[in-house]
Amino acid sequence: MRRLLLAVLIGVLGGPAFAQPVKVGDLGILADAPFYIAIEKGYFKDADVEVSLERFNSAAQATAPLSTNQVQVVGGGVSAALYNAFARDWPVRIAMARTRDWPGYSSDTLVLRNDLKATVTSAKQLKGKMIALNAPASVLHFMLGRLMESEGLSIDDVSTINMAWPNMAPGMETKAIDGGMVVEPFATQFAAKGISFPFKRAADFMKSPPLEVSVVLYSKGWTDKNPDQARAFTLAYLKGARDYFDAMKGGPKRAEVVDICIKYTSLKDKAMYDKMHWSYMDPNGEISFDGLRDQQDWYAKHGFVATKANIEAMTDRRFLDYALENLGRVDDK
Amino acid sequence: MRTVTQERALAILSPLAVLLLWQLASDAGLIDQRYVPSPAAIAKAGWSLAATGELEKHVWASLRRLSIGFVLGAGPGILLGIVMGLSRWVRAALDPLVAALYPIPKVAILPLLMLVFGLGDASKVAVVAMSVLFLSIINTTVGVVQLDRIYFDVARNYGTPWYRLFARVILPGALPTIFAGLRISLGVSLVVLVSAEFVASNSGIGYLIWSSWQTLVVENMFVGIIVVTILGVLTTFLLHECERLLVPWRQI
Amino acid sequence: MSAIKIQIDRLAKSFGQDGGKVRALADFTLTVADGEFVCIVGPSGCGKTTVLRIVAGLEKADSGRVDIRPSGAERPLNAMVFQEHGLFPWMTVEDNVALSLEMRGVGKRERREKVGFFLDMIGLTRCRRHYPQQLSGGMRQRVSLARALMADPEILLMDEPFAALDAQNKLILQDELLSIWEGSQKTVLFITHGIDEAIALGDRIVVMTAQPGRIKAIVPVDFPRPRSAAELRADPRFGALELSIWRMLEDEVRATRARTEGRAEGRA
Repeated sequence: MRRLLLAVLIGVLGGPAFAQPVKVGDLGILADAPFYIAIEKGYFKDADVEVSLERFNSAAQATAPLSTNQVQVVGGGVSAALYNAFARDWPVRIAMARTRDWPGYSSDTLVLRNDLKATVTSAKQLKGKMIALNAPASVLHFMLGRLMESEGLSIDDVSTINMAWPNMAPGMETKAIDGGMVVEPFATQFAAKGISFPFKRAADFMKSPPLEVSVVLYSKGWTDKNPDQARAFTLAYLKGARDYFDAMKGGPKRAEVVDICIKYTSLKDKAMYDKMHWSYMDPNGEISFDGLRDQQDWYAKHGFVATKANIEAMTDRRFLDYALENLGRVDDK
Repeated sequence: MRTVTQERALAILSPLAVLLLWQLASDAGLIDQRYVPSPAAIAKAGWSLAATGELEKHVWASLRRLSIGFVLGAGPGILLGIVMGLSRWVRAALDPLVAALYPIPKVAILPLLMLVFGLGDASKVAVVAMSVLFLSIINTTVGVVQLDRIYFDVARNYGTPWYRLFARVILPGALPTIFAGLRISLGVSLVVLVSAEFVASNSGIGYLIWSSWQTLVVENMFVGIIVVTILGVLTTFLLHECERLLVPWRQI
Repeated sequence: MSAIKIQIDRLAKSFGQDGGKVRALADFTLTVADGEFVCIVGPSGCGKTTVLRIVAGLEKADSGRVDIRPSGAERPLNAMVFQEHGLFPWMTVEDNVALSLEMRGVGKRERREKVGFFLDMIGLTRCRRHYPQQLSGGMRQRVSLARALMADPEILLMDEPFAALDAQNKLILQDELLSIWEGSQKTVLFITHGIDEAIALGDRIVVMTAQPGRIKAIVPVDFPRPRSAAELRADPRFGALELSIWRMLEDEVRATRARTEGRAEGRA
């Protein structure tokens, strides 16, 4: 009923479908940088695509409006929510890879209270500790589980509690929690404040396959109706992703990209960009299916996913292929 | 007596009718089950959550926080409200404070409460207690202020000592208004508790709803929502029974 | 005449703050004999209720004094029958009647026993577990009366107790009050705005002036007792007495009306 109303409303107000701006769900985090770069540097404009940003609190919250085509593009964190959306047959498709953890570029980190530095030296000693998560059954939950398994333990050997990242600092200061699963800039910020230290980064122990953190998701309703616009969008987006890749590696575009990130993300401290780990972003958008399957298996094993999805079938790489044909491949190392 | 039975029957039948309509609409495809599961699917999910003992864990966690927080808020609130109702000086001193603190969304200061009370039950109990406290103060004050002056005259005329004045005149006289406040507090405290359990928690119905939505297990989210409504109905009924017991003269 | 029970000496009382100060009562002096039934009538706002409240100790006079002579026994000086809402809605009939006992710390069982006699007297034994709002207005005022008598006070104060009742019920309750009072030998101060009620009940009638309330006249009523409030009205002397008291009151009522209308115009 609501979708019908919406359709009528769009029909009345919208005019020809191509003129519709592409609504992008963003979180204001560094991984969203390609969107911001492509806006600021005019890549979307060059491709004749109008883009508007819709700010969400979490990727999981953006998935439902994505599936109803209220939002056309979302940078989605890999999580049980994504697999469950596939299992529920929500019309959502993976378009390409986004961020993953790579040696030197590993944002996902288990931080521990500074006073535990002497006593906790291996994952074995995490047994019984209280570790905070920002969301259940998310990529960081999976990472914590793999860390425990790397020493023959399991996720059930630690206690977990859910809280937002900023709340973890007072949580550790009051010793209510022993550590937290965080991303940058929190890992570096907390360390600078003397609250915690980075105990393990994902790339330290997850090498093959690496930890696949987020992907770019497209609404199937959008790509079915407007494949030309989706192709143009992807081309512009990939240019933005490559600028990020250059900046990440310390290339000539770094200063420009940092300025754009300061403008759009919540990380305003310029010096922090040189202190923290950036997330690795694949300049060719290639998805690690092994990594995604590995994660899905783990969620299923721990009861967060009831029905496993066929991830290849949930991936639509036509638009990425189009962009790669036009831009060519680059070295991803 | 017959009308009472009919009223009770209606009270049970109307939600059942809504469920039935919902199920029929789902079966007919009028409601997209990918987004809003049918009552049967929700019942199935609820059953399996109950079978593993998970549902019970969440319900008890929430009920424990709710009841402790409610008592800790209502007790001091009623006492303070009586003092404010009796003394215009205390009222003049505290009224602006209550008016200023009452509208603060208690969930907004939850991170602060977590600093003071820790991450466990205490911070959730505190947030519930604070919500109940102000509503209890306000309603009790009104209940005492509105007491007919003649009751105080009668009490004085018949030589009532202060402690009997409190127990036999002021408290029972204000009780109907106090209960009106408690009824509102109960609804508010459920809402506040569920929201607090969204924020930092690993148990409770609010956590169940939030984490189910975060992982898009929509059936479980609806189980949580329905359990909250059932909790609301049951606790309201319990409070109503307390009122029948303590305010019998109003039931006639 | 028998011994003096109440001595009221030059009472005066004002209400309100400096600017809007209203003199309610001035130079009110009255002596009441033991066992006497005195009614006070006057226009609205003449301070008759204030007199009663000062005698009851619920209000302090600005000047003057009230002296109630105790009989020597251990009993409260006064008990008041209030206007219509004087019963506690949250207490049963029996608890309301036993109020004075409960406040003195008498145990529950003893209260139950003692209350029986008074419930019988007012004919409400079968309603002992009822709450006031289950009763009619007349029944409620009976309970109020029983409560005051239960306290066994030196004097009984009644503040327009039948004002809210309809005419028939008023007659019945007046008769009941007469028969109960004649058996009890209590001294009574009775406030009313009904001249006929004052004549039917009282030994003497105190007529008060409009604000500030002073005593305009004290009229003796010498109908023989025991009386019947209903039959008394058939006596031609009743009508004559009612008319003569009305003549005294008429000017005062007009004065009060003129003043309140003047105030209303002044505001407008």
